[in-house]
Amino acid sequence: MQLGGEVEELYFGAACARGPRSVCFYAPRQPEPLAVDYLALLERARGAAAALGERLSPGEPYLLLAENDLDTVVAFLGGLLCGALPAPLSPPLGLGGLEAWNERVRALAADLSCRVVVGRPEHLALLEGPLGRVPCDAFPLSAPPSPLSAAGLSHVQLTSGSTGRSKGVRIAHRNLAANLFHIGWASDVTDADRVVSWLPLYHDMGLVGVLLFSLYWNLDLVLLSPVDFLARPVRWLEAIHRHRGSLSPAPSFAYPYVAHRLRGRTPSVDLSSWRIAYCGAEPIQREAVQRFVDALAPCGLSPGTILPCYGLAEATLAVTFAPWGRGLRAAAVSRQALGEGTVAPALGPEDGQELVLLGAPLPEIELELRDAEGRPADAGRTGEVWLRGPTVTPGYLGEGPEADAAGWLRTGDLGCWVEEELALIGRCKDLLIVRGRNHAPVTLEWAAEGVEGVRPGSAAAFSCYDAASGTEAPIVACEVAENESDWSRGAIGRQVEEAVLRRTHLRPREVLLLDPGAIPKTTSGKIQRSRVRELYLSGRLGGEQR
Amino acid sequence: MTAVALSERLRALVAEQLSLPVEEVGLDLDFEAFGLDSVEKVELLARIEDAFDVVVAPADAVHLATLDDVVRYLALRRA
Repeated sequence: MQLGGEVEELYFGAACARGPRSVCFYAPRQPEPLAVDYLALLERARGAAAALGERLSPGEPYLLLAENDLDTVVAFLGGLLCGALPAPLSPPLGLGGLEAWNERVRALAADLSCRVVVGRPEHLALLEGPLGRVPCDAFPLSAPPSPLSAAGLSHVQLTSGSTGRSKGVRIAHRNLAANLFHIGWASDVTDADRVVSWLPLYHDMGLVGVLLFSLYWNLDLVLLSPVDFLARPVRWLEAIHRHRGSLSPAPSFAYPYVAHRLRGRTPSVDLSSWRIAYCGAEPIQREAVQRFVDALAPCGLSPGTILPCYGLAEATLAVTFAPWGRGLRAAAVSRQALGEGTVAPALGPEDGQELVLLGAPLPEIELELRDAEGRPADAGRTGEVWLRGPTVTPGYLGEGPEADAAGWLRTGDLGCWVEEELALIGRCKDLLIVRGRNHAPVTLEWAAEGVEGVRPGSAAAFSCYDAASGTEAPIVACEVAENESDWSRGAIGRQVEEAVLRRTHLRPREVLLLDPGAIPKTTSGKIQRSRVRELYLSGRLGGEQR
Repeated sequence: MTAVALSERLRALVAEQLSLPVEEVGLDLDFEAFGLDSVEKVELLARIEDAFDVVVAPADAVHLATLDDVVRYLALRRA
């Protein structure tokens, strides 16, 4: 097969040179997958490119309602081949929510200046409003090769902003070429590797880390639907077993989630082929991920399989990788010192705070920790992560470059070096600053969530100016069942206060026990801490105080 | 199964899924207003499908905004 221009070379060159591998799609509730080899995929993508090129101009973004299926992958790759920019997003999922979903689509289309939505006919039928609809099941099955050069943009990655308004990160082919190469290099990838994943293709870990990664390296890929994973998480493990998967990524919440859903049962699967379980996308709670490792050790899962990593869409995907084969490793640093912005060994178990080590930056990525004024942080001090290199993206749609004139990108993440590896403390703007000391909200939240009666994943910690003490004071809000009696609410509130104090040495000035649903979250379930704080300050955060 | 029995069974299932006392789960429970995130909504739908042995097409699921909607949908399917 003859390849066209640089874009086809970049993503299909390896398949062409070495004989194409395949992607297996598991449709919801279908036990047997559909297998399509990468050159057959290229044919279909060319057909889609011809059709999309008639509706869209080069460089024009389009919304793509993305499922983990063949039509979505073809509609995405078709965009790349004609130079239009796919912006994948989730179709409506689960029960209800049609109005909220339509509102989100409307806002996205306006913010990103998209005229067109591409998707399955049954999803397009749910759309309201004047957007152009292009069904993805009616593209020509083939077309001539794409001559497009790889000098320009590839696609748009939607990120969930903390204010609820998504931004579109422009990703360039050169960003992908660099990141995909280095991820493979750092993973010691060989063509015996097989990727298995349920990650949705509208998240960067799924789109870049699974789909484009497998194409670039010409690796067999097994794709499950995220809905199937959530409905029955053991399917993930069964697919790894069945296909002898060796590489599979997930956000760190997924690991304790699987352990929880297993409910003490050991599945009859052999996971000895699984050599890398990438773990990232959010702060990693070591003991939570450890529960997964422990639960699946009898299935042949090696503890060295877990690979903690750090990255962000604004830098394409991956920024740092822990050394592969080492597994989860955390350092106990002094909580006191960390509060003052320094890294020092813990003075004793009472003073210890665990930070998971996230490894070193991938090649060609420069990473610096800087203080709030943008000056390099002194050795041994925490600082904001700034990045420079070929994976720093050109900026958000509709805006200029995020990176400064010298190419440095400010990430908003607070980190520190521990034993020459990066450790993340949290988002700079989410930090609680109490009596001049910094505290990562997750440490208070994880403590609160350990109390029985507190709804899992519902705790939010923030700080507010307290006139009485003349300083910021910590507040913890979490959800409990609506009709908990006054007595048990009192008990839960006290227990949360004690748990937080024990873990963090901070006594919350208030513990708010709210009804289910009171804590605002993004569509992907992340707590919007700044919004919680806003609602609290304006008196609109429901529920009673302890 | 009568509509009443169906409602009771559904309320019990939802109560268990959301870790709530069943008295608190009314048929007017609105999933979005209740604050279920997308993971919880997908999980809940999967459990309803398993318990009642139905497959709910995504295009139908999206219109089931309250428990009452689900009861009516299930009753129709079983009729």
